Amino acid sequence: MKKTTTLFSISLLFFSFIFFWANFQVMDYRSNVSHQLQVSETPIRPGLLKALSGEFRGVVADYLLLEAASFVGGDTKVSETQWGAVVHLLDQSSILDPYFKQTYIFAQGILPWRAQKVQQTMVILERSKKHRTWDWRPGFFIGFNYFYFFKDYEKASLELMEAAKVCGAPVVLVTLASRLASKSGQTSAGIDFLTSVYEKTEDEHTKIVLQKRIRALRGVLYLQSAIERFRAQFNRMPDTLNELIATSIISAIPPNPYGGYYALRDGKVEF
Amino acid sequence: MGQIWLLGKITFKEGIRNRILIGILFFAILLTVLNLVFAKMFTYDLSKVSVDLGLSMVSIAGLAVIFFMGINLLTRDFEKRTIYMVISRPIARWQYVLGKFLGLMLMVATSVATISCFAAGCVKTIAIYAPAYVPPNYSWTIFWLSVCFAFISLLIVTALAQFFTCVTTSSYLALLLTASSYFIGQNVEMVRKMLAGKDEFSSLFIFVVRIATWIFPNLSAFDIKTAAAYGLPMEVTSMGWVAVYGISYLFIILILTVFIFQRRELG
Repeated sequence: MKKTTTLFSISLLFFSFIFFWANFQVMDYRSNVSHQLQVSETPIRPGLLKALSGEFRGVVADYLLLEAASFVGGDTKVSETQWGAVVHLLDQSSILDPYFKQTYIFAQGILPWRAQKVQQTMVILERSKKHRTWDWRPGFFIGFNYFYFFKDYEKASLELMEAAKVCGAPVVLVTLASRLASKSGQTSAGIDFLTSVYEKTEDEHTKIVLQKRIRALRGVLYLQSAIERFRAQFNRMPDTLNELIATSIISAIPPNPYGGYYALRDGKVEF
Repeated sequence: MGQIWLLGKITFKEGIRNRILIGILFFAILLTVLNLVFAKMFTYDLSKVSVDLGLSMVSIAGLAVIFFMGINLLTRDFEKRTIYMVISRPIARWQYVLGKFLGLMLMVATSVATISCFAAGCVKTIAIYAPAYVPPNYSWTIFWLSVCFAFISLLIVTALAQFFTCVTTSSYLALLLTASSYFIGQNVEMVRKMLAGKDEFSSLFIFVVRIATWIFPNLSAFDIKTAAAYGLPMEVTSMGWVAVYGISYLFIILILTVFIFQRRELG
């Protein structure tokens, strides 16, 4: 009995020593192994992914997002292929749970800036916008991307107008949308939109902000129509807005409600 | 009814003897820790993550009870021949089937109730400490409704497990067939929708899928976890019909099990 116990204890000590030694070796060996995206190797089609996730798709979506976030948050320099994998993970996560706020916020915060994947981000944002009907942010981000990355002011303005209609959207969205509408030559549409929002608004402070913006856009519209008349008369664009007064097309430049003056830049009136 | 209740109680006690309650409690505590740690890893919709994980654990624990304990308890009577002791007493075979089902139902109910209470505790903790990260329309009513639907879904799987046990009398085959039915049940609706209006699939294949939607339960209809996580609006009529669908399917399976068991040679 004593002999067995001794043998047992020696064996335990021996294997414990081996185990600790091996564990230190493994930790040391793996310290340089950076986190790799496993899913990138096996892109799964959305239908199959949904089928495999079954009733646990919410948790799977969370996990995929976490996988992408932990990878991007690591110190590794991300290659083009790996960015593709991150996009794939976020897309999969968004397909499984299109309602999740973190997915689109993360996608917008990372993909267009660090990976130049604006188009892919737009797909995720569109999906979120469709499902999160109570949230103005996806529409706002879409509008922002049209403005900043695609320089499509008309689409940006339309998206922002749509986002501004969502309950709880900040009033700055309305004014921003109208400014972009004016920039894209859709000043009348901007005024109509502002007026419709103004009529529905009850908050006095918001009403003052909107009224100011409506006055500014009306000024732009007035000056634009004067420029058109100038062009029809002289067959060229005026060099400055003051030229409109000098040629008696208008008697005075309307005051800019934001202070300062209206300016003519690249044939467009700005305030 | 007295005999069914008695058998149900015995089956449930057998489960308790197998330390099912300790297992469930251990799982629930593990879930709480995991839930709070996992939710902390996110920065938006934290309660959604907690609901996702909590309700998934309710389903996983229920399925584990059915697959690893329920099927064993059912087949043990056949494999160890203890069924002779039961049916030699003044108990009808249909009473045996319903009694066993009642016992398993109590086990699943214990698991669902325990885990869902712990899950609700986690969600509540997050809602208290991070109220800004709870989706605006979140509703406890939908959360508990989701738990009820998960329970109905688990009862259907339990009934199927019992049915396959009676048909095969083998725990391995019953496990395999029940797991397959569960997987098909989770996806049958999606497959049917994917095939709808597509010409590239043969009409025979589409016909088989259509038949499958009538044979296997549409378990995805009972999955309202997403609605529970965000408090999405639920249509009362449609949910009512889903409940009626599930309960009627459950009774059909139980009747079929009784029917097969009545005619079974136990020699």
